[in-house]
Amino acid sequence: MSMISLKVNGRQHTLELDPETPLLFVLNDELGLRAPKFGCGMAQCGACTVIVRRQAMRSCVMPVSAVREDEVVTLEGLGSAEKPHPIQEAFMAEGAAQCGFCLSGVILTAKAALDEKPQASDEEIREALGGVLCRCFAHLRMLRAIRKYADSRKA
Amino acid sequence: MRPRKLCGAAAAVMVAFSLTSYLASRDASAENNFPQNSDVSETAKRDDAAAAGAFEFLSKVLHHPRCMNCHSSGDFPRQGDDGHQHTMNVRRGVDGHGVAGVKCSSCHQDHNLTGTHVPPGAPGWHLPSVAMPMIWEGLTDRQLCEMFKDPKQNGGRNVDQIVEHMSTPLVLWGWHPGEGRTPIPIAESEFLAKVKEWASKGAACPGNARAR
Repeated sequence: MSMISLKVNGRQHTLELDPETPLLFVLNDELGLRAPKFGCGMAQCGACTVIVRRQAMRSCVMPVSAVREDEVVTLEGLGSAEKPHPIQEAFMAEGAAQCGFCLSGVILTAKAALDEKPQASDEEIREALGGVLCRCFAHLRMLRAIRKYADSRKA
Repeated sequence: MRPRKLCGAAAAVMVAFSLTSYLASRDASAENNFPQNSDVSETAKRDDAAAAGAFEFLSKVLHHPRCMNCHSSGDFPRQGDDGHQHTMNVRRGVDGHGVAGVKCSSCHQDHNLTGTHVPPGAPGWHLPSVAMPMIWEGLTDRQLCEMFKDPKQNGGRNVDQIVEHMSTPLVLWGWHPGEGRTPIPIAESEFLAKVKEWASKGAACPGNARAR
């Protein structure tokens, strides 16, 4: 066990942990953040996605020690119910969710992709989302919401 | 007249000497890319046949699925011993580290994780870049050897730097691929010895043969 310092959604935490503990377990169990979900536990489904170093990362396979000094952003860190982030607003406007289990991963992956490539084409957005599975077949509404958000950034 | 003739003869000798020197140096750098001023070359005796034989040995290793899955045709990595396309539509990306939203490091750590079916890992996990994709699927041993030595295709490396690259953790991961994956069946130490032998004996390439 080691003392690990972790910055999540703007807040600094110090926790006693095994450095190999998956980041997801720390977020869910130690910090009570429920947006990142345990889906497959093998980086195959994307439900656990968070943003670290401006990249979408699978927190279920990322040891907490691999975060180092960088900040972790979960869906809770984007916006609140009272003041949602524009990408969250776009998803609400398009009704782009069904069961919602994959939603955190979809939104954060899309945001990371558009932060890196604001002019991403629809095909590039689909490529980015290739590793985030949705079993409810809400893909088309999600893609509309992401396009709406991408276009609003240009404006 | 005589002095003029002598002068012309001397000039001809000088031109011939310069041309010979130039051609000799061009041969050494372009065809053999023989390492200069290095530990490898200082103690070496050039032996083209031995170097070519060593490369043929290396080529067998380089065609193992642990290597080929990042050096096959297509702008995507491959997986498994059958070399199927990486699931999730993972792409090479311009720099070989993936595309926006899906980087290699989104899932691959700098070390293997415990268990089967989890992403393997090593420091700097990535594919070669689009500019130098280092695709050796379908190449003969000679073509592969020439690609290895060509700085325009190999990431700007000279032979010494190729030797260095061959002992990086990402390359040596092939011998330690984690649970559920077939490691390269030839001893790591034997591979590294052959890399050094190839370089130290002049880095000559094998003759033409069928592609592996």
